[in-house]
Amino acid sequence: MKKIMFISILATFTVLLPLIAVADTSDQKWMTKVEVKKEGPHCINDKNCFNRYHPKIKAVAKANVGDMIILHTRDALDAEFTLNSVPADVAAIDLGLVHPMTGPVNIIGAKRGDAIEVEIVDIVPDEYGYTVIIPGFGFLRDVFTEPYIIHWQLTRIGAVSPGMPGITVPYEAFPGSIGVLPGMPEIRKILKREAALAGAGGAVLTPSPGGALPTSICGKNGTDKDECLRTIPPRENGGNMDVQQMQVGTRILFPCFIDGCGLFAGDIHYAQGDGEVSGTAIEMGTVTTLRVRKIHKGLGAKMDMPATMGNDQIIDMEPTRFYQTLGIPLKEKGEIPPTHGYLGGEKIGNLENLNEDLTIAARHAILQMIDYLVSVHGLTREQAYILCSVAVDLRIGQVVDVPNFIVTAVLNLDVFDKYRHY
Amino acid sequence: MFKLLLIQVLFFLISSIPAYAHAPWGQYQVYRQKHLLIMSTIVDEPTYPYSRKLVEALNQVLPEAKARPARAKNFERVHNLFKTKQMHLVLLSKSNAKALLEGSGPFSDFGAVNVRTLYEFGEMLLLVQPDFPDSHVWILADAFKKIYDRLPGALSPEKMMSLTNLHPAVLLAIRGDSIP
Repeated sequence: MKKIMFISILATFTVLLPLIAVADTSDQKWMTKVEVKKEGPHCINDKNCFNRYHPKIKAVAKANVGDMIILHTRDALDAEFTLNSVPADVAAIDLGLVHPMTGPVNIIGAKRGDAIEVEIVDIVPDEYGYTVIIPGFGFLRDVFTEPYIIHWQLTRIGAVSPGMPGITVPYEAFPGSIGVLPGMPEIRKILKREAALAGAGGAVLTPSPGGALPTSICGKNGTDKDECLRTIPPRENGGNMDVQQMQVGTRILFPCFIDGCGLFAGDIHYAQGDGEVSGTAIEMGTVTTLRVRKIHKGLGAKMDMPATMGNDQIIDMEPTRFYQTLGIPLKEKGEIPPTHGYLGGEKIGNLENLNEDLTIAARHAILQMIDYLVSVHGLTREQAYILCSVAVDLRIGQVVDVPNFIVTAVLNLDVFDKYRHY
Repeated sequence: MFKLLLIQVLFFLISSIPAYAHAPWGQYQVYRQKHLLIMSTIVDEPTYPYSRKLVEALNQVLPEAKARPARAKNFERVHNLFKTKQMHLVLLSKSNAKALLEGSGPFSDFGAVNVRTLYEFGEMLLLVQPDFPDSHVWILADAFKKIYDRLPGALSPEKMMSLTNLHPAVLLAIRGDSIP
């Protein structure tokens, strides 16, 4: 009798086992994947990481159109901070390490002069993110002169922080930096124009080998150390664009300057306001998936800059409730904001009202927003500046009503309740 | 009165480096120059909490210095910031201070750095760049001479005289000689 029961059970398992296996869909595959993983704790330990731009930087992988390009990316300051970091740590960072990029990945079939259409497929955040005020950096660097740090606890529901009680910032991730390698003609053109601007007192970072990677090309004894571009400014090759509309699902067109294009990404932001006024967004490491949808033959040669295409992503990011301040180009008499120092103070120094000036209008708008956040919501001025950096959008109202162009600052009031998940 | 005026002038000179320097990283250097930064490091645990005590005490007697703590993430960063003279002062445990000077122990991968002792606080030494201006060192040593009894473990000025590798201006301040 026992034997019959045993045989029955065995037969039942034999019949059901294939059904159980079929019920698990995880073994059903259709993607072709090219994965570029992190190696070691910092960019310097990682052959898949670099922090300067030069066409001699070798591709670490190749991908076909349609492949899922999975990039394990590092944060903008290369793992400088932890949940236990304090403002004193911000005073001792090494800015030579900015920004670690993952890649480059060459796209098979892409040639110089083409354009590649890159879709942002997915962004998986680390658990930890941070926003900092770095002395001497940021839009209001003359106002906020001391180091400051906010630690964020990240899920895909929202970002919360013990340092920002009552606030939850919605998950709206995008690559702070994404781009393609410049070619030598572009390098020469860029170095020339940036050197001219630096000579005029502009805020330009000329090539600097300290902390530069790869060391063999861009480091102190690197073969091309004087031609390796810093990653701070966005340029024709994309890079540190910090444009939050580049959300998951959007596609970015990049002109190719080298054969293979040399696609890279890093410095991914969990969330950022238009403007990123403190100089940092919610910075984090990620696993970011990209896919080249199409190579547009010859299109790159006709493009000035990358372009973004999307659907309803731009609507999804809109707040359901907002508070908006309006800025016009007003400033204190005698004040020369740091953005305008290179123009000289003779003409604008004693003016209270500047002419058709969006930068001063933006400053006016964001200063009013900080006042609002302090007086109405009880934030400190530093907390308010940080919140502006991650959740307030600077927008151009108009550029016609001379002399007072308008820039507005739009606060997503949802941060105070809608996404709270304590 | 003259001395006070001189002190004010000296720290004004430190703090008057143009805040309108344009390159963003240059502005970061300006911050490091506008403040008397006392570097410590996470990996030498007692140094950061003690650096905060030093900053608090210094800002009471030398508010012009605008002292601030700066905590490096590891010994490599300490070495880098000190060697490149981005930081002028560093607080380390005695064994690590010796290692920095010799390029040994945790600094063996990075090489030796020339340093002088500015003051001793129990098991910790405040080190200074050898070419940090004598006048600045004198001002700081003079300040510590006045507040050492508020700082746990700090040597008395008399005992400081017997230390080796002291910055020469420290001796001047402790002996009561005039500011160099």
